[in-house]
Amino acid sequence: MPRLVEFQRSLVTDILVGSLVSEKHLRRGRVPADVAIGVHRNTVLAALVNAIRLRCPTLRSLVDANFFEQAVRDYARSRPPYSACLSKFGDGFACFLETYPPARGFPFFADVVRFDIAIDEAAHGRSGVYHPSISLGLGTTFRMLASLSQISTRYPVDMIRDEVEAGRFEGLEGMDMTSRPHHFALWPSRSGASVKRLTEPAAAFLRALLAGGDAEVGMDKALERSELGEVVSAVQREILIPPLAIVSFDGRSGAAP
Amino acid sequence: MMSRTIQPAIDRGSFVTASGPIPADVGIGLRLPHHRWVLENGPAAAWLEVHPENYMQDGTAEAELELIRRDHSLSLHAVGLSLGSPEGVSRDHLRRLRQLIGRYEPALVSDHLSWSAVDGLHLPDLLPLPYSEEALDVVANNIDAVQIELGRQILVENPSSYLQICESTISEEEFLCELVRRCECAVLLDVNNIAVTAHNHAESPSDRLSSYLRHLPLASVAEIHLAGHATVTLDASVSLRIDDHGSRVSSEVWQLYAHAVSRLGLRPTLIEWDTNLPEFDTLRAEADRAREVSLGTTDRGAGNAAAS
Repeated sequence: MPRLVEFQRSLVTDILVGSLVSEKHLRRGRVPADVAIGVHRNTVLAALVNAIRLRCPTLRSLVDANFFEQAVRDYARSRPPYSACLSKFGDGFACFLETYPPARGFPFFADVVRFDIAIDEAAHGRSGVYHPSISLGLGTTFRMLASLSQISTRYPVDMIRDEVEAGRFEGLEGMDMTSRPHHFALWPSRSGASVKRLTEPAAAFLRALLAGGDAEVGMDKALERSELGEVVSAVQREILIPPLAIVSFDGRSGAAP
Repeated sequence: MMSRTIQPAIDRGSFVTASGPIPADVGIGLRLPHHRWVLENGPAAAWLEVHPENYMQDGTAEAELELIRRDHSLSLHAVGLSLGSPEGVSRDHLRRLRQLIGRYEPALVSDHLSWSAVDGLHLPDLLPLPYSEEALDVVANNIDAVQIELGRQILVENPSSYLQICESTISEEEFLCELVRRCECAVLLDVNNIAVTAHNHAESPSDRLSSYLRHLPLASVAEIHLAGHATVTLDASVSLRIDDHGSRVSSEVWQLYAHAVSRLGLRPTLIEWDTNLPEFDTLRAEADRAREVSLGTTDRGAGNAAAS
């Protein structure tokens, strides 16, 4: 094996794991090897902690700083980054927290992270760009916002985030934390991202469309758990409205029929 | 080696860009928390430098930088090309960098003499290279690939160092000099990194800088970096310097800078500050000081030349 790659692999192991396997490549110098490697380890982990702190402000505010740093460090060791661009680092952090022993007893942490990351993603989407028209039949079509996304969680993460952002931590104590479905649509806005709560049928319809389905597939999915009238009403009131969608009747834009 | 058909985008005498040159003056490293200040206060520095990796999402930061760019010459200082990786430079990263160059038309593009990626894994740090023939071939090939892909010359920065590697057979400055010769790249001379590295390896910082200036073709130095560093005491006799960009430039580094300018003449110089980021005015005060040091040094040099 070329010496350079061998050295590089050993140094990465030392940085992530805390070992000293690269020592055979190092000259004994003024600074002990473990201290010098520790400088690199701190730099790497501090950058990764900061990257997730920026993406997950709610969890960062909810928990003790030491807990947060340790969780990110443990996550980074198990799932190190594969890109120089850290804006996507932490995509798997929510799943990691679901089975992270120190977070046991706080099952909503994963959803809080999922929601923070969905907001971060939405905030970086392009606003004002719409997908090609989708037919609703009878000369009616709609175009969906290209950067629209949807997320479902088991806890009221929007309310948790609101309370944390406002510094009202006491508001969390009385919150109903029963595990049940909560659905949201997200899209970019001037101030970052906008979030809208969705009913179950509207979320099912939107989820099907975002997965590439047409309006018929969306309706079928929504009808699996809801009555027709409820579905039509939900889709009209929650999805077929600006800026989420632009509806046209025979080429003319207007409100949904 | 690959064939070299690069048209250097930088005429080192003028640093001309599509919308203005990088002046041989003092610029400031722009970080995201200062965007608002710069947007509200107009031209903030002789020129600005950013890390392109912070602008690869096409969101608010990118739009703000576009506005800021209208009033400032710009340099892109990359931290993610990983020029020392045998697996080569990430095509994806290079594509994104090329897009940013197209969008912001920077006068200078640079990265470091270091590596970050191995086996696809990418650590956010500038990790040390052995200065060996094998590493020289790897870095030269990667610089060639980057310069060909970007269609322009890049600057390569000397790193700060905490480790010395057994496989090294030549000095850091000889290594960098050979890269300049092989690749026709330019050099970004980080004076603070020289002070940090020299201290950590029990060398004299001024001797190390002198060695750099003796080995390098002086015309290849297209930019100078200045920053603060931290000092950590390990025991009664040993301390470690950490290149944390978290404080004012040290007096020792100012002296080294004066020495460098006395040999190089005026060069685009940058104040970098990344951790414990202060108000923008503090950075401007550091830039003013750098301007005083460089102009004082070159004036004295001119006076001495006239006297002799």
